[in-house]
Amino acid sequence: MSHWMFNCKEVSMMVSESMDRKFPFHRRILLNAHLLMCRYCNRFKKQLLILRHAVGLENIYEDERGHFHSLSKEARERIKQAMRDLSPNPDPDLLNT
Amino acid sequence: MTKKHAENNNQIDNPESWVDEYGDFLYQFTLSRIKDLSIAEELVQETFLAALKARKNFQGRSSTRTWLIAILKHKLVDHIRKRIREQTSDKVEAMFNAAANDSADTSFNHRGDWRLRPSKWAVDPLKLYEQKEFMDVLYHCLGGLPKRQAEAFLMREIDGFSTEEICKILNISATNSWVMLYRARMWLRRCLENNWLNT
Repeated sequence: MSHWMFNCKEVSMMVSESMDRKFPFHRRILLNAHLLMCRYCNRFKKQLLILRHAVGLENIYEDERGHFHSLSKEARERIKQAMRDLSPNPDPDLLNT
Repeated sequence: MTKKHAENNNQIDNPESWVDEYGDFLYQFTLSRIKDLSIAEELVQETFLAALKARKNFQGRSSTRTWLIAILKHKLVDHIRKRIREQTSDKVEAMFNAAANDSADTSFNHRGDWRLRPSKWAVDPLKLYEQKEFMDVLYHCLGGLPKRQAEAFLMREIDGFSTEEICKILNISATNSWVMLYRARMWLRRCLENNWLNT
């Protein structure tokens, strides 16, 4: 569909770009006019927004047996030791933990 | 550093407390995406070490947990990308990269109309977190992106960097960054549609 000067390929690029910077008013109008009339580009835009939402999620799932795992005491200690090894001059605060 | 300041910034100034406070959550987050317990522990450790190195740059734009998870997501996608590619040869790797770049071009015909029209996604954006399959495929697809494209995409969508910041970090032009992000989104959308909708 090639409404309003832009074809779908161009609009798909504009949709993506509009997620990263603010468009001038007239460009926004042209983009929205195409989106209003083209269901595939409109769908495309919604899907990019779903993608954005999904990568931002911080959700956790249980495993197949319905379990959540925790770090063992040893694992925590290993990680803390690695952190101590990394800082050559540890903060006094750090030593108190 | 004054005592009061230290108390106010307890979490940032006391990195080892991160392990007790967020370790389990990061571990569970990792295990929600990959199965291997020892690799998960390794990624969590790498996350804390990276956070320790970068803590001076943490400007409190988000909560400590969100900041740590953002670092972990980078590590996770990096791990998935390497895992996918270590099973493949250089030739296949080149094909992978080409595919990631092509999805932007092959989606349209010569007139610029959709050749492969976006399908309807039966997903409620508000309930996305309940859709484990969708999230599994998403992370697999993120691992399919070429390294720099993945970095640009994650910096934009997870770290919330502006394209100006991304340009500086990756040493690319503004136009380049928009093209990179566009290609990454095109690939992810297509990859999700092929691997999630058609299962």
